[in-house]
Amino acid sequence: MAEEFASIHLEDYYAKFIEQDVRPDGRELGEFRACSLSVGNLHPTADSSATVRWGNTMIVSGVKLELGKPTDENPEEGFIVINVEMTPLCESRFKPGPPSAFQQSVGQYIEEILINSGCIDLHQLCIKSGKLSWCIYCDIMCLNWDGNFIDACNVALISCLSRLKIPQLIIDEESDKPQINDDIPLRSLEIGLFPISSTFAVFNDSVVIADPNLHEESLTNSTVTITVNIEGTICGLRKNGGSSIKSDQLNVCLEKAVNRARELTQLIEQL
Amino acid sequence: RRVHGGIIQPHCRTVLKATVITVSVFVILYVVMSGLELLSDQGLRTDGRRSFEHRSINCRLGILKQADGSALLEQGQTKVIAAVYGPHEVTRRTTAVSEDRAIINCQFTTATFSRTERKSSNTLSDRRSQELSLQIKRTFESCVFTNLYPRSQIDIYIQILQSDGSNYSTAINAASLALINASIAIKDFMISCSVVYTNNTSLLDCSYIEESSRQPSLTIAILPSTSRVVLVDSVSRFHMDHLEELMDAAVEGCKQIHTILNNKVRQYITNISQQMIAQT
Repeated sequence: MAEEFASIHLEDYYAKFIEQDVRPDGRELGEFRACSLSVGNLHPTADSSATVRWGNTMIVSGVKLELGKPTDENPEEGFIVINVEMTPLCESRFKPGPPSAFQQSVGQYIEEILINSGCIDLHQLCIKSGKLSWCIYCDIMCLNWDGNFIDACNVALISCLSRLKIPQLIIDEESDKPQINDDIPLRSLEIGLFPISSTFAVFNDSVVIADPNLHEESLTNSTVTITVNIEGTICGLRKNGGSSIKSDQLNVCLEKAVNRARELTQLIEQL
Repeated sequence: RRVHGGIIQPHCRTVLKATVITVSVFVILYVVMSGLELLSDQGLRTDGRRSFEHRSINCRLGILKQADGSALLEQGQTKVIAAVYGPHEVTRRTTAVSEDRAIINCQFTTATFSRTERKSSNTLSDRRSQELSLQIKRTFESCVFTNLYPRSQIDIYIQILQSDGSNYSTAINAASLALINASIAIKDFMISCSVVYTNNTSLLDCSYIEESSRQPSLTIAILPSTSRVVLVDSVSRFHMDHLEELMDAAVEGCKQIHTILNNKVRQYITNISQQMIAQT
């Protein structure tokens, strides 16, 4: 009976729950879903990998290290390239073919969060100034979409990068080819404080709920994503149009985001 | 020189010269090492404005004859033209026709000649343009009374003609004016403003130099009568304690811009009605 009602009048179904300050999956309005993380599943083919289960959302990310030539403007810096894939495998709304505007904007934003946070200094990726540097290719794939892709993606990306180990290279003088020096142990990538993002959805210009799942995302046209690190530095703040909110509601979201950042930073560091 | 020769003794002159040279060397070193200062000690920005002043705003409504509504908006040196077509029948069969509301379609492009260096020609498929188009579409969905135009489509086309910072904000303001010119029912103006944070001060309405300086900046769009925030986009990082200050400054900036644009729209309507009366 409840299922039929939900499939026909999803908005009214949700409104009844929100009146009682609770959501159909049992969470409170400000509660995030549990996140579980496992790393190193794709070893040894991927240089670093992570799988994130965020409620029913499943994300797999893999990192490969390659060599490249630094640009002329920044001869002392390497590269980080982030590619996000949302295929029809994870949810039927994505059609095969070139990425839609939505897919491109999500991919763009994940990259922006990492760059804005400044947690990775690209100078550590340089091997020989102007000639050779490391290029980190991160590919993030969604296996099951149940809402809140950005937060889960971010956790997968950061846990991958924090586990990445970079080998030491010697450049053979005669053939001018780089070779891996097996004697020196791999060094970890140095990362500063992790930027952790938290997404909130706005209903009917009034109610703000944390961590929307798929059904909740389809009911709202407005999300707020706040990216903070545990120090309280905001690395990204974005509200995507849609329903309007008051400025003090943003402050409430900000506090929740900082708490969530502490939880998730601990989770990533503990593994 | 003859006076100097008489008043200042020769050995004092060499000491004076040496001091002047040393001081000027230090000043040059200071300027070169500190980079471009966005806010000088006297509180002036690179273009001579104060921190709370926005650039001069000029707008012209109804300049395109084919479009249902159009506007050319200039904020300082940033020039944006926006055209609105609609409400009309849904043209693309791939987009679902909505039974109870209008679909808003937005396209944001930057002209190749808009900056000092020529930008490559495929600005349409550029990731950033696509992202901004989607965000602007969502922003206006909360401002237009879409339920008054069921089963139809409203197109908003925005083109940046000259780019000197705050392109995104000027684009939203121009689209707002174009919607008004097209007589589409809206809840309120959608006003947008950008703020950059440097030296513990918020600078309103960033120019290109301020935007590209990698200081933290915020672009917001609000409905001015209720001060409710519809869009927020931040660049670079800042501490969360500064958020309230930045938001307040940006909301204040939006209200200033709203006053000006409101007056310009009313002037335009008065002129049109006077012309109509004169013709009859």
